Amino acid sequence: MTPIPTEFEELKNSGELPSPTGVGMKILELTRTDDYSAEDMGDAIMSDPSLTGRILRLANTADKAGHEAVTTVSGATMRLGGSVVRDLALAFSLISEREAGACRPFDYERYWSLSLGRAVAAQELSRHLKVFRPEEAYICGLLGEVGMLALASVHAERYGKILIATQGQTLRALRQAEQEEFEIDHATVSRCMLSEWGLPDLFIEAVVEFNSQRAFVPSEEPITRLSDILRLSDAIGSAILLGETTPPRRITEVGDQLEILRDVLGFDDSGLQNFCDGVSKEWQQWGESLDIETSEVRFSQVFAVIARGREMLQAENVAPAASDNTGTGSASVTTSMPPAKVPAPSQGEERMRILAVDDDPVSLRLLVKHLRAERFEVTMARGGKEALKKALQEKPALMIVDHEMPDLNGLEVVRALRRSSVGNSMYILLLTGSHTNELLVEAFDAGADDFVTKPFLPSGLSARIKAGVRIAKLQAKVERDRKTILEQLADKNALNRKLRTASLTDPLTGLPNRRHAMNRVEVEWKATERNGLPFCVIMLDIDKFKLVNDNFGHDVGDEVLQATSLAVKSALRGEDEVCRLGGEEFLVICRGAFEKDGAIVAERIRKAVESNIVNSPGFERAVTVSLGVAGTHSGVSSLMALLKASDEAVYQAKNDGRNCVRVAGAPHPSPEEQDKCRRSA
Amino acid sequence: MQPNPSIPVSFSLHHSAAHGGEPVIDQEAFSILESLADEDDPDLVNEIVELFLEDSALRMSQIEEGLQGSGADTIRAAAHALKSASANVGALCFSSTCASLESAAQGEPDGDLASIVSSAIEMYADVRRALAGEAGNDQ
Repeated sequence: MTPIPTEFEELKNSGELPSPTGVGMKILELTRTDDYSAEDMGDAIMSDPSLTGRILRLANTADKAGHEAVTTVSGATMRLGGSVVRDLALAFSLISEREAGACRPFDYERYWSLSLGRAVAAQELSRHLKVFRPEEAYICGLLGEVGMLALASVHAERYGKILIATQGQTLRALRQAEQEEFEIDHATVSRCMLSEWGLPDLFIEAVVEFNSQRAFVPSEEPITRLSDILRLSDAIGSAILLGETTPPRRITEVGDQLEILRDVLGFDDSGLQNFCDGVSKEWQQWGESLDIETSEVRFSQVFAVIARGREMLQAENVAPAASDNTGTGSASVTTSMPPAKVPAPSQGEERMRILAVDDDPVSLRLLVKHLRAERFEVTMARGGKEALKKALQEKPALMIVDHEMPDLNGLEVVRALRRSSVGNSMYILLLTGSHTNELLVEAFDAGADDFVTKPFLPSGLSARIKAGVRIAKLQAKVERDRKTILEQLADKNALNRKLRTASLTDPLTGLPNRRHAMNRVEVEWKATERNGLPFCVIMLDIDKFKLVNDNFGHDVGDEVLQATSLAVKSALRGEDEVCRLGGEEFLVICRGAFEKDGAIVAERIRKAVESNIVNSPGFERAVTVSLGVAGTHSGVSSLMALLKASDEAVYQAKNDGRNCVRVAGAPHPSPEEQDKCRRSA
Repeated sequence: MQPNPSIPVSFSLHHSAAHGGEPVIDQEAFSILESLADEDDPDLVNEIVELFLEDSALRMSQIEEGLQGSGADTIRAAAHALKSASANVGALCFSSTCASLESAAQGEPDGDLASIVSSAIEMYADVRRALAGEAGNDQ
């Protein structure tokens, strides 16, 4: 398993990563070990009725083979398998805990709409192609971009800036920007989160691949297949959400992906349309069940939008390119850019949000009238359930709720809210028709902050509200301070890391510097001592570099160093590393290589440099290098001796006329010598 | 305070002697509502009256259904809602009848409940007429 990068640990330490809460967390803890009891998990799930309903729904939609409908959690566990039920419970609890608003340019609602579209499409594709299990594909689709959500939650402000700066560009540009800002991109964050939650490796790898920009080639390899399903699902999900504001380039891209999908499925146009309409319908139904925003979408219209988008793009391309073109024009399948909302210009001081709840429309209207007069931004709800939903979605700072309501009464709303993290900090005023002592005691027990009796006098209400506003403002400040501190902590860690990186990097070439090189060879040497695996070093030196500096100046000299660095890098194998030791001297470290392997790499480097013309004004020619190879199996007794041997080999190469490779020690060590080397080490 | 001419509410209409003979709409209570209208909300009074007429019709039909079978709790909830809504539009007598209805539905014997419901229905008809601005005969 790939190790968890420290950058992810820092995100985690911020405490702001989206995480399953309540039942989801309980399930996660219950199932940490492999021998958990399915019964315990079933009990945990059943403690949450809406979660139970959602899981039953999936158990029944994923299996259309005509089995009898599943009606219990244990039945669902039997049909889907314990691990699938577990993963579903996690994913669903993540949705129900969703927050909106922290990162303003990030469109949370759209994020979940798209994720759900991808999930449903993946489920249908998996069923149609008869590969993987539909419910597994569903989970992967739902969580495929969870890293974006995480970055938006932890670095709300900085991520917002990135989203706005890269708006309308490719996903690759976004990931690059993420990498530059946070030293980790959302694909890696997704991977770490899924692995942290204990999802199967296949899912994790497929989610990483799904985020890659590979061209679409059919494959039998499971990870590739699953990630391709995810990418095609993403195309359907994006197509469902195409709108008037989508740029024509993006519309065309989605259209291209749908064409690939059509060919993969072996459909004609109307077959594809039927398939997608099926997905869209399922998406809508799931949206209702999960409380995610969806709408009725017909693909006949979607295809019309795509056709129009293509025409517009063509017209744009025919016309002289007046505006700058941000797209890359690559034809490979790309996943969609995240939704970026341009924030509305703020108008002076932000108004405080308040939720007014009453089932009687007359009282509600009057209440709203008073609140608007007090300059609040008012949201209304006509019942307890609606109030809960709006409170969780819009997170108002205050709420005024009538006690007497038919579906959920005021006290029940207050109790439910106080159990959630959002409702915890809300200031809640209870409106009561009567004020018996029993009711008041019960109200304060439930968590109400204050009460007002009906019918209220405007002045009395104002006074009560003023007290509430003061407390809500304090609450908000405390919360803001907490977030700032956590963000500063994350920033500080990132800064520390940047400094550490800088102290190990050569600023001119961007290569690791001497300090890093010495740390690294020491690590390698110790590994060799432990397990006897070979490693070798290649010392190299640019020939007659002093003449370049003397005759063409230091600027040209710098350019030669940079160009040489790139040429050397291009000749390396995956695990090899080149460092600049200083001046015109470089060191290549080849892990797991014998001298003969090192000699091959060295020769490749020599050729690469020799044929690389340095394009500096007035210079325009290639330089050459002399290289010395020394390995751990040439009988050296210490690290210093190894480095000295490679240095002497360079000297040898220089003496032999430069632009050549020399290897220190015996070319082919006998087994006895290997043994001796290990002992001596 | 003079009623706004654009709002055809009648203050001269009174409940019958059997229901106390008081004005159907209390002008002072109604004026509180009127005083709330301002430039932001010039049409507030009309809007509130319309909301009331719409919602109260629904509640009254719930009360009648409650009497026919769906139970005292339906009546209690509807009467509770009507109590505050009607007070807001100045129908104070009707509001207090709704209050008695609410407590009656909480435990008084059934016969009593039925008679309060029928008074409420008659008084509600007066309220609708008064709010629709029908000139009543002073009794």
